[in-house]
Amino acid sequence: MESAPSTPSPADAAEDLAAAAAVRDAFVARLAMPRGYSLVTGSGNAALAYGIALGNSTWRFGTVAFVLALAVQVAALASATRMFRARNGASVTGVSGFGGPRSTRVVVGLFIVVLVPCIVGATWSMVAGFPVLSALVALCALPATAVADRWWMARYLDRR
Amino acid sequence: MTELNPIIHAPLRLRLCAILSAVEAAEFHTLRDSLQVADSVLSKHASALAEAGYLTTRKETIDGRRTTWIGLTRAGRRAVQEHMRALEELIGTAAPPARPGAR
Repeated sequence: MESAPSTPSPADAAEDLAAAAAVRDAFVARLAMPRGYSLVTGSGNAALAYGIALGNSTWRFGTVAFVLALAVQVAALASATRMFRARNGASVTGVSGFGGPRSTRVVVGLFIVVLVPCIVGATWSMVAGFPVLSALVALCALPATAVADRWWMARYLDRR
Repeated sequence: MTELNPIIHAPLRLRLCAILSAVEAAEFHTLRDSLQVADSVLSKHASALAEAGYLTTRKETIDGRRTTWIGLTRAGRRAVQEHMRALEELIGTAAPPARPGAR
């Protein structure tokens, strides 16, 4: 067990805090999204949106397509996480840690804003008999995810 | 007044905890380079924090390279916040706010 520290002077305390904040800020400032990160996450989201649309279609292999899309999404997320860790030597999460509960709301909000319209649009198009339009709508998840990824990262860096 | 935490108080540990409070986990060598210390120094301080239940470590292999990942536990995050609050309170005692009307 460590002994209680002798109480530092206010000046020493300020110096300790400033040094800790400086090293933390320098560490966070070098975090960046790896090249191709959003391509991977966006492709996963697009595959999921189209998979759900196919799953709701009358196509006999719709359920299989949905399960495959789900697998693609899981693989994409795992790959994106690996890429981020390899690039930065650190992992961040929107669901816990630095961002706190507010960050969780941001992640859930982004999911709703980015993915849900693509899923609903792709499914509606598929059910209405427009499979090509459905695929195009699902593909919109790719650029939307790229924008959302960048927005979240910028917000994360701002919160340091 | 919030008490200073003797386990976090050492400057290097405070800096390590400050970095870890900003991420979910960080790789040992990345932390070592950021803190500009030797492996053994970082290892010693990380062990002390882990013994107190403030840190978790896990070994992983990325691209064929074995790495150690270090992250704060929930108790660790709380302890770091409280320690920083204690330091801020201490700084606050140096400059009490001026009373309205005081000359």
